[in-house]
Amino acid sequence: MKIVQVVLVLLCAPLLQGVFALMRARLSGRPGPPLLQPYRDLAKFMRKHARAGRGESAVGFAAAGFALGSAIAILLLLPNIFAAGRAYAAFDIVALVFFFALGRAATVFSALDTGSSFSAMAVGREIAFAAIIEAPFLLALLAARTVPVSALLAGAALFIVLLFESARVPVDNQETHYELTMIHEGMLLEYSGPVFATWQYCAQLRQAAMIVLVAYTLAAGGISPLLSSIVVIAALPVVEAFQAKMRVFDVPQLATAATLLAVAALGIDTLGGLR
Amino acid sequence: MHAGRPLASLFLAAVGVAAAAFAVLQPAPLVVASSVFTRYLSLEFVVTPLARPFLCFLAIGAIAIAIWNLKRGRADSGIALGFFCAAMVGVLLAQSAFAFLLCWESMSLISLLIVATEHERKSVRRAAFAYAFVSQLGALALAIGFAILAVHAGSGAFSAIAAAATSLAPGARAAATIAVLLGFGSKAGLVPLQFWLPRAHPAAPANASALLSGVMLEIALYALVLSCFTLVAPAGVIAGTMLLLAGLAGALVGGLAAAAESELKRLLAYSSIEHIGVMVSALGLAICASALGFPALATLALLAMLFHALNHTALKTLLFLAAGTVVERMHHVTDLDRLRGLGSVALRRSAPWILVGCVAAASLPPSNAFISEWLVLHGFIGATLSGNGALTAIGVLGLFALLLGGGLAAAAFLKLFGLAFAGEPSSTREQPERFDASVAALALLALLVIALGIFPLPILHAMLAIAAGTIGAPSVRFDGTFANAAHLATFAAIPVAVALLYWWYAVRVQRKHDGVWACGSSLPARATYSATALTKPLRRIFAFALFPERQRSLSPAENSDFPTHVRYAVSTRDLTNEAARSIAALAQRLVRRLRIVQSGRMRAYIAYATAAVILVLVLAR
Repeated sequence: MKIVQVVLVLLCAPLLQGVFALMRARLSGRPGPPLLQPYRDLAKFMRKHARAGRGESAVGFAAAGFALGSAIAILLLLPNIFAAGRAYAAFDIVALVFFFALGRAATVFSALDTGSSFSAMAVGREIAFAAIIEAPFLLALLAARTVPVSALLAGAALFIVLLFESARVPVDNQETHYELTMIHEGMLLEYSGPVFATWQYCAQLRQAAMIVLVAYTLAAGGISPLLSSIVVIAALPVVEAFQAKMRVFDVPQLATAATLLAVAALGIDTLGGLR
Repeated sequence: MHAGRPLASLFLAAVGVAAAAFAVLQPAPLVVASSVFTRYLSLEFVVTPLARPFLCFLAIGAIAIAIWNLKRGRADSGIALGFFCAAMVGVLLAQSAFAFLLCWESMSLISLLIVATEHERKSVRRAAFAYAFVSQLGALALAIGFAILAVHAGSGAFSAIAAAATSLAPGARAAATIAVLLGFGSKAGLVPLQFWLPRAHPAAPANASALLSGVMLEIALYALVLSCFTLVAPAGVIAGTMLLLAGLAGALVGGLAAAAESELKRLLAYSSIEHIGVMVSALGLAICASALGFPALATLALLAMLFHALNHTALKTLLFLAAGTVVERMHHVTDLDRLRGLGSVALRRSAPWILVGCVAAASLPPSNAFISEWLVLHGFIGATLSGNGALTAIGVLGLFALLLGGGLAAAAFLKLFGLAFAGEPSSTREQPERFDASVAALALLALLVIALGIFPLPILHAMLAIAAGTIGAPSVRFDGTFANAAHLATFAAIPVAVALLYWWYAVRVQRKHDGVWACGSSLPARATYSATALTKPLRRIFAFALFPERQRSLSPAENSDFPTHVRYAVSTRDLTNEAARSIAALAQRLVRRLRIVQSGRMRAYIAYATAAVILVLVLAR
């Protein structure tokens, strides 16, 4: 069952990206790209000749491979979404958080390896946000247990982590290279060809993994897994379409909110357990 | 090559081998208790189970440094480091109060001499003064604490002190506990006594820093474990909470300062504060859990601490030796704002091993520190889910502080490697590095880091026996946890395997390289992003703790519309450092007042001596 889920995520992660792009476009009154556009993009990048700065050196390739490997490890660590239960008992939450961090570290390393100042600007933001989002991530996963209210709060905290992890508005903006406020795209600016395709695919895998986690948490509170997945997938483009991008130094407040939500969930959970 | 260099290295390595031999062979106890030494002043040396892993850590550090010294560092430094190691072996073997204090003080004094090696520089003299100040205050506290314990037990032997520990009066216990926590905590770099570390490390030669940070901090940790679980046992919830809070504060302060720091060796020193914070918080958790009746949790926390200590020895020795290589190759430039692309020419043989060290210092898979950090976090998760209110609060607090501190430390090491080693070199004048003894030392340590990360189980099983024996819960087993740890090691191999696959593909397919896009012109080295700029978001987010200040000066100052030179400087403040500085200034003022008694006249000293003899006679009547 679990291996089916891993294969399904590996195959459908770009499709999910296509769904988000299409929904966001429709919500803001544009026709939007075709649903399968992410697959076409990946295929196009794979065919392209890699020809740019140091990003295409053997080191750059190895870093991309490292990120891809850590994304695969994350998928293997993920719980089975249809076996609702306590997250802590179902899988190794600490390892999961560290493998997410590993993927980010690989991205940061390869961005700095290009020597581009523009990438380094994005790296500065990325490492700052990565540092403050780890604590709420783990605390929320720890809080994700069977008390419905706490599952809801933990799910909300994880949703905020998802915004960070998948570089979405209001934290980041995937659709532009030109804003000085953007993070994830900035780090990959020097890349093209197969390496860039790998980075894009990694980001899609991590996004899908985060969505599985949020849905799993909500499902632990008693909602059916299918419904909770649909809710999360629908919520992301809605937030993107109706929210403005935050000022970059206001973003930490979002992380603070996630921490508070996670701690509150944990508190309710523990009190419920004691009673 | 200097003729004495191999001999000095051989001496240092011999001390390391001797330490390992003590740990493995466990020779018979050595007791010197002649009539000259009364029962308080007996000298006893025994290899205890708790000391054995630390003897091995010392051996790892000493041998690696000896190999590195064959090529780099001052030719004769192996001698001084060898004596330093011998004093540390003495501390680990000492099992009586007098023997312990003797070895501890020689360790402090020899390390002080080593820190002051380059005493021609004023900054080195100031750093040595700060270190002497802290270590002598700590020694004073230790002497008082050990005196209380020995007088209560009626003997200086640790076995007698341990046997009498349970019957300590509350007041005496509190006084002794505070004294040993101050004494050992100051040496370990516990917050708020950590301020000497970031000063001493940039001042000391790199191989000495490696020993100070990679081994001596662990010795202080050993002393903390020894005192909390043997000498003043049971240490109780209050002492445990104090250690826990100090450790968590260390993890936060160290991580934050490391992330904001741009000087290579100071960054490593702050990272040591962070790692020691992780270990001490695990120790505090072990004490609290043990006092509240959770022996399994206590054993897990202590096991995590022991394993992290081993990992910290390997990774920090590696990184400080790497810093030494940087110092020699780059002519004493250790500013991350000025080091660029060392990995491609100047340090091309060392760089892969340094990358392993940086990954480990950031506690990322597949390194050894990842496994131990994972164990520590599972300890705190166990506390959160234990069902005990106090432990739950400790657990949540600990998870938050450790993850935040760990994330910041990871940022620091990504910055270190990404800026100084990755990317294009700023100058092409450097000769390419060749493989030599110093690279071999780094490679050896890096391979140890990876091996421990992929095969942690043998070491974990050995350490579990020691941890369980120390806590007093011999039947505790962690089969499930260990199985998960082994599982994780295989998971950590996945990214490595995929990366190797990509590497293999990339090497086979020849590729054309162009420069980085810089609007059609070539990018001068001066225009690349600096470490200070890279951490600006962090400084801004944590402005409430770092107090960043920016100074901008224009020259010529009177013509600010057309300046020819603009100078930028960014500084952050460390509050504990400033507090320490004002306390030291106050102490110096007091000492100056006291100077009147030191008149220098012989008559005055004869009067003092007479008065002292009379006082002793009156008191001893």
